[in-house]
Amino acid sequence: MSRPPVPRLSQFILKVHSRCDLACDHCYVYEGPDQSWHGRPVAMPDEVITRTVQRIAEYARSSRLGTVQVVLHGGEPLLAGRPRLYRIATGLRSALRGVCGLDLMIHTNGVILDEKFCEFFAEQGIRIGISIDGDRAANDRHRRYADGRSSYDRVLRAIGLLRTARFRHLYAGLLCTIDVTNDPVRVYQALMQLEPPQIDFLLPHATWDHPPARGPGADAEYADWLIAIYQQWLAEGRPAQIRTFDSILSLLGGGPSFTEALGLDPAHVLVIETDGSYEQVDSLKVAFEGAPGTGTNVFADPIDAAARHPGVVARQQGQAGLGQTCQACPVVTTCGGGLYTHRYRGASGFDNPSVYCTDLFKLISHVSRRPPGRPDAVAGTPAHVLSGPGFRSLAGGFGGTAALTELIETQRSLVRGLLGAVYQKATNSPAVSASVQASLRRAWSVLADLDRQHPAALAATLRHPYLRAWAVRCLDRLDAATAGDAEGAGDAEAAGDDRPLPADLGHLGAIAATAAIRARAAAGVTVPVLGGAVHLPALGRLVLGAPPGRWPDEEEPGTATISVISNAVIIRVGDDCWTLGLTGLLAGVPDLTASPGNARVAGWQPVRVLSAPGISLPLDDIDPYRDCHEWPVAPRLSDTEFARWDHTFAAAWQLIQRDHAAYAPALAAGLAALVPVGPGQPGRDVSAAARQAFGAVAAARPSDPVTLALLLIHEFQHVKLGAVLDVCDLYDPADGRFFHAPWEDDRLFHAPWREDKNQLESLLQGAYAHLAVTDFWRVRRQTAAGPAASEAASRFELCRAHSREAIKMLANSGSLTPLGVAFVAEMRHSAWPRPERIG
Amino acid sequence: MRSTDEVSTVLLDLRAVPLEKVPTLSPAALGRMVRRARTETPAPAPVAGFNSALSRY
Repeated sequence: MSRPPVPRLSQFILKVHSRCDLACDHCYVYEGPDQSWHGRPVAMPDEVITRTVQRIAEYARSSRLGTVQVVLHGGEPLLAGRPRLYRIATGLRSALRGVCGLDLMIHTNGVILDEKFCEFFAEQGIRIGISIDGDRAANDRHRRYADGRSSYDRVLRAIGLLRTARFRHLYAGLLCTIDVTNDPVRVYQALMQLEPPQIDFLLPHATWDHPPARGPGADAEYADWLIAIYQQWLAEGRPAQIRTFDSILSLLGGGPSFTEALGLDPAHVLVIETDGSYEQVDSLKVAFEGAPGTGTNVFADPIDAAARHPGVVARQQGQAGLGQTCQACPVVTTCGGGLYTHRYRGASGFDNPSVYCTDLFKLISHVSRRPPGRPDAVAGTPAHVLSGPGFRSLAGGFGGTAALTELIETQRSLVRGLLGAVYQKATNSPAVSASVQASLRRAWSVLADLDRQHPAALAATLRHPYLRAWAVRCLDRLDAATAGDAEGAGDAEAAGDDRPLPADLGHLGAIAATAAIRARAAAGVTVPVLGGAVHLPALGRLVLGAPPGRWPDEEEPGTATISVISNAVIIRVGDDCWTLGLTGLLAGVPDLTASPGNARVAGWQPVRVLSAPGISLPLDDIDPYRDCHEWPVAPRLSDTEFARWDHTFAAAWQLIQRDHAAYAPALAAGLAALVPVGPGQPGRDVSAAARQAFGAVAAARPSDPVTLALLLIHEFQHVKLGAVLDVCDLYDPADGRFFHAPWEDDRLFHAPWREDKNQLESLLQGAYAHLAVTDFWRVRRQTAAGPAASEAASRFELCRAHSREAIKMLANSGSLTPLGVAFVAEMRHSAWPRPERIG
Repeated sequence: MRSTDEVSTVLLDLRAVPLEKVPTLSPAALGRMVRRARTETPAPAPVAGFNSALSRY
């Protein structure tokens, strides 16, 4: 009989603190038979930290691990304090540098998680999971302080921090321990409102000696509880990862499990206690006193010694390690006997089915009979589809008018969803005053009426690229305000302005006014005065002069009202009033009339339009939300500078139509705004696209039309691909979010045009842009003359080599979804045009 | 890719959903859309010495 292989451990649970600031009555650490925590150090001492780090690095090296995951755990790990956590994090990074990747997480009850902790975790790249059991009633059933106080508000505040833009990337997910006396769908909905990327529903730890609580006569109520959530989750289009369901679905399809509680994969977890003891999975504490122990520790033994412990090896045997009942079960490959701990019975050890056997059988059977259908069926609302030819055309680097129209339509849905989310969140936020909420309701009512009666006018308004950037900013600030960040002031300061939240939210009124103007429909809304101007997105702004005699420190009025009547737009600021002719306003040549007796002067600045045969392109140098690109935006251009832009653009567009005609239809259909940015360093052309500004390209005016043509083609590649990525998963998002830390080298890629490594999506963006740029220089080497032709030829060779190498890396990454494989295959066809195509 | 030569997407088609009903979509559905809309393409650190926007990814 051959000796079983030594387990390959890759996840290490570090018990950095052995006490907790809560006294949850369902806790397996303190409430189970194993009370070993009493005799352990309260916090992991430095000598244990040092030795632990060395042992993990030693094991990772000898086992040639690609990545180790280390989870900082307790007790309550935050009680260990930032200095100790810092020593652990930096020690691990230092020891594992050049050995393997490190995915570092912390799992906390969240009650003392504050901004300083979050900043520390952001610096250290530590992702955060939080325990919460549902809504207030569900959570407080068990998760209370020792004196019985609720922990709910503090936990909610912690999660609020993780939902802000600053820390969202650290938000790993929520862990919920099931209590079947809670309403499952209410629990699910309460958790989903917290926007977690992942939820883990845990069966309460139990054994045959200490079985789970069940109602009289009930035999599978844990399955029933989970099935109710599964059905809701399916109906909502699986909006977050739920580890139990994702694992069952994956296992049923022949894939891996994402939890050791399911499937036959070998367990890979080792616990290291505060005294340096190696222990088996800590849920074993509910089996019997000393159950997790291995008799080994970091001072005396390498990790291999713990890995050879019979208890650890027993969890590596797959189906052969299960009892006869399980081996004969039709769902054994999915169930895997459930969690090892749950099989324990004093008389027979672990050679039993799970104490949750009937639940697991029922749940797995249910999921196998009701797999997900279309991913996005929500109460009869279908998902967008893209046409196959359009998708392939875009994937090849081009995309005609029809393909771009499909992308435009998806963005329309996205912006409608965002508008609804901003309205919903703002009108339910305690951080937004009643008067601001009332203004928002008026604006929303106008938008809803226009949606019913003038849908084309609303659709045209929603195409403005910076509405999405505005909405995302509002949502970020509302989240920050909910988290107690003084009306989101932190985010506003980070964005480089001091615009109050009500001013940002009030822009909804300006959007409604613009739509009403386009529809020529009567409406009245309140709008903010931003930077001394009243804005109508994509149309222009009324710039207010100071009233004579005003003291310098006298406050500007915060709002204005806009009334749209039969053929005019009336803007009122305080006691002053101006009227714009509606027809002229829509044509870009409005006549502005000031009311007699106005105390101040004002001037209308329209959004000017660049024009060339076959295209009209707004040059937007005034939108208050356009500053979302990589480079600072330029202020309002002079008429002379605009004329230079117009001249250069006309020549560039002529060049695109003549020499790069394959790109012209997409540009003509999808380019919605050109935004001037400040000049770069001498000799450096500056341009950008932003994911949250579909249709916009930002650029400093280049010295010649050839360069502008190149910049437009290049940046619009990012616009197109960003919109595709908005609606299609081209690579496995789990790669970055759950199984590998995105900042770790082993999931980064070395793009041929950069010296450092980057994430897969960056490589994809770069490769997609290079496709078009290669094509540009391919043509240019033939149309240019003299030195320009030579330079074009050398650029063509370099770009072609880069794009081909990048496409090969993408194809071999192993991270592409089937759709991503199809997308990259089309990129490959473009990069290796017949007959040069590689095999 | 589907056999009808269409590509399924992960985005709800809200064009036919009346705007006034959009805020009443389930928090999960709306939340998923918002998460998608908030997604930024990861921006690597600028590389010194490059003279082209092409180097930024």
